[in-house]
Amino acid sequence: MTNLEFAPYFPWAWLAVLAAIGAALIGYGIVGRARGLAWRSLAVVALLAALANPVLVEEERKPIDDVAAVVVDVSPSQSVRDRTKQAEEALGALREKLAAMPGLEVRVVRAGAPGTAAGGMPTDGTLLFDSLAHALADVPRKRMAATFMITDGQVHDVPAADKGQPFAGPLHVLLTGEPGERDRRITVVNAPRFGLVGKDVEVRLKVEDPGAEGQPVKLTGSKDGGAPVETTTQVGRETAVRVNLDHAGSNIFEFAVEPAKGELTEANNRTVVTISGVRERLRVLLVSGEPHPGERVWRNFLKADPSVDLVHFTILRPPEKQDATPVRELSLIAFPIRELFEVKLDEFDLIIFDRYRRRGVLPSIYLQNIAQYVERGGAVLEAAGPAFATALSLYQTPLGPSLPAAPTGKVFEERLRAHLSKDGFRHPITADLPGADDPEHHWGRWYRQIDARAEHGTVLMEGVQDKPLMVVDRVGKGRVAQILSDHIWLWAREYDGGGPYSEMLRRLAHWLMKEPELEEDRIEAHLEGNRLVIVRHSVEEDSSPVEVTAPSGEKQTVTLADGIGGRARGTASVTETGLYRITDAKHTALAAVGTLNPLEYADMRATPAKLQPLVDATGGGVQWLSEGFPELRRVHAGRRTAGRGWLGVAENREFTVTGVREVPLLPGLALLLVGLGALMLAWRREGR
Amino acid sequence: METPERRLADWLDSLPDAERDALARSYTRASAEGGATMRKPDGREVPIPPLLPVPQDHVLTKSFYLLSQFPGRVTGGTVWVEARGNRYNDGVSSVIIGSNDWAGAWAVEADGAASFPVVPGGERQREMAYRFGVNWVMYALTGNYKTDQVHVPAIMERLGQ
Repeated sequence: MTNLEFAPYFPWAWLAVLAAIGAALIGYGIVGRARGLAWRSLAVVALLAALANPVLVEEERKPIDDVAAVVVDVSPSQSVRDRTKQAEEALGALREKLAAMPGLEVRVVRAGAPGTAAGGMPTDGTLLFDSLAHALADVPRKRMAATFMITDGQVHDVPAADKGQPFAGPLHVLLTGEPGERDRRITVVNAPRFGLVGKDVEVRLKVEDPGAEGQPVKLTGSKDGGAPVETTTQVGRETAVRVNLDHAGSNIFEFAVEPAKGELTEANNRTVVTISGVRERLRVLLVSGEPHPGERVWRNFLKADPSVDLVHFTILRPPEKQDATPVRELSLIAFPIRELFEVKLDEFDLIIFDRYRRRGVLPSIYLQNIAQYVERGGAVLEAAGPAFATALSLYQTPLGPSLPAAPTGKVFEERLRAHLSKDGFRHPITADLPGADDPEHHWGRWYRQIDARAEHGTVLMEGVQDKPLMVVDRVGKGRVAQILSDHIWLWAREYDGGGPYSEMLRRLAHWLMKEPELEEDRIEAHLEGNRLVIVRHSVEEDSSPVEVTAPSGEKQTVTLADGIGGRARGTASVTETGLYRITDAKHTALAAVGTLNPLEYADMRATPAKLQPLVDATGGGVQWLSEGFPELRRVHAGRRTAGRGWLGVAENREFTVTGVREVPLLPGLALLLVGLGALMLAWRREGR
Repeated sequence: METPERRLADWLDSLPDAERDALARSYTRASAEGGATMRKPDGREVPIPPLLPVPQDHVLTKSFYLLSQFPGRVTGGTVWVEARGNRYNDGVSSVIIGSNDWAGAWAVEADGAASFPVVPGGERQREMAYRFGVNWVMYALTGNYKTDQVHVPAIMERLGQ
């Protein structure tokens, strides 16, 4: 490449001044009709040209390779059917054809694999453009020849076509899969995020299966990993499913639709809905057998709990103590027994008997009702007083068989120190209670314990001679607890330093009312960063491993290390989005990672629709690989880059300059000679 | 058991009626401004919350017997309870102060006869003094229980829904 350039010895402005003077002199000569004017003009021009110093510049150029990017989608949707094989074959053919084009660099990016987003969190959906931008960060746009995407078209980060493109050159899409594929899937149209515990909520689902609208399909639902329930619906029609929230916290429902014949994948035939159960206020019935110093501990603790509605009855005067005081001077009312223990019994979440004794107030038919209420799922807490050791004991009523500890008839009235049993250290009701590791120094003394044998249930706290002081048990669907002393109020009064009565009673009451966080035998799992932390609570030491099943069905075994408070821990790494299932012989826990219904599996049918706008905007083309591999053509930049059956690769003809050679066109000396010669000729002409 | 309430009660018991009444009045003036304490004879400070005269509908009037007055050996003195209630204690007053000398009305000799005549007089006044004593003990043991009772119909109604 050669150019004519000037390299003046003086700035152009000076030359302009000299040229102006020369022109003025010549002009004067013309006006004065001077002789030899032609020779003088030639001298001026020759001198000016010498000063402007024209040079020939010769550049040495080297062509630069254009860049063609190839993005291979390796997201999970690419693994259905033979899409992976299709993609690899297409990549091989593409490499071969591109390699045959001179001056073309090929960059291959595999993108869209799960678990590759920043921050270590699993990604949601297929993100190809992100990886592409990364791979082309160092390539100037003018070098881009073409971008090929080998994908099923389910790309979830396609930039808007009108918003400046991330790369230059045409975007060509080589589609895996086949046109008109069939895939049945289930979608959640509407589901509440919260609901009241014990109440039904409605989840609206829809089965989509384009082309099969109206067909009846089987729909199954299961709750918290339990047994599935089956129902029937129609493809394309919204179905309302009523589900019951039976506990507080996350209620996880899985819905699945039966697979269709010849469908792409069953991965999206199931979906998960998580609904947080919110408890209504808990209703507690407190029955105090007599006014006593500990009564207000129960009242204060229950009334201070904002989640509790308390109904309290105290037997202020037993029936046998009638006197002549007129009723209108007494503040006593009749116990609404039938109402409480028959009509409204099931409305209560917990019934507490506080130093209750048989006094002919509650006929045994009602105590029988309470025993049945426990079997049905109710809860009873018996805080025993000295009468528990006597014939007036609640143990001697139809409720007796439900109580885990049987009185021996003896009452210890001596200094005693409550302490946790071995199980107590592991049970969520008492585990980690402040001071439990050294009750001698941290827990105040009590002075009464009703002697009892624990015939069933779990002893959590012991007193005199390691005899049971607090016992819990499950009866039927319900729960029962006993406290075998009425001196817990000494802790409340901080006598001898007091003790953690309010925390203990709160946990006890909420365990009785089935608070999920206080379950003593369960597995829970939660996310910490990109690790799944698995905690198994068990009263018995349990070292069995758990199996973690990823959303894709991949399984790993995790060993849990037993630790304090009855908690065994372990961690598993998490790479996928969706529902992880953690199981051991007895329990199942579910943990949701990222989005429960991942974008990736939402629609797996191959389609050009998502990429089409960008393909059109960049002048690219779309080719179904199932219809053959297209011809590739090298085309000049600015020409058409796609046509029927062919895809173009732009030729940008970029270069770098590697060297420059300058050749002065008019040597100064020659010009000087021309100038002088012209002057002499002019002089001679004048002199004639 | 040594509690602030007990120490206070012991000390108040040891005072003559007039002094107690004067104390209650002066204390009430002080408590209106808040932050008052009383000094026991042994020099220890006893914290006393702000007080107010027992309202007409206070639980003390219905914790067992229905009462409209709280007579003791004498009658007519104002009875004081904690003004705001104790929120850690379900609003139950941690102190009751009065000058009606209830113990004087309850006191009996070895033969069962009353130690002192009640003023202005009558067995009804002594019976009321006993009843106030019962209400006082019931208040200490059951707290605001009797204020619950008026809510029970409402609660029962709520349960029915």
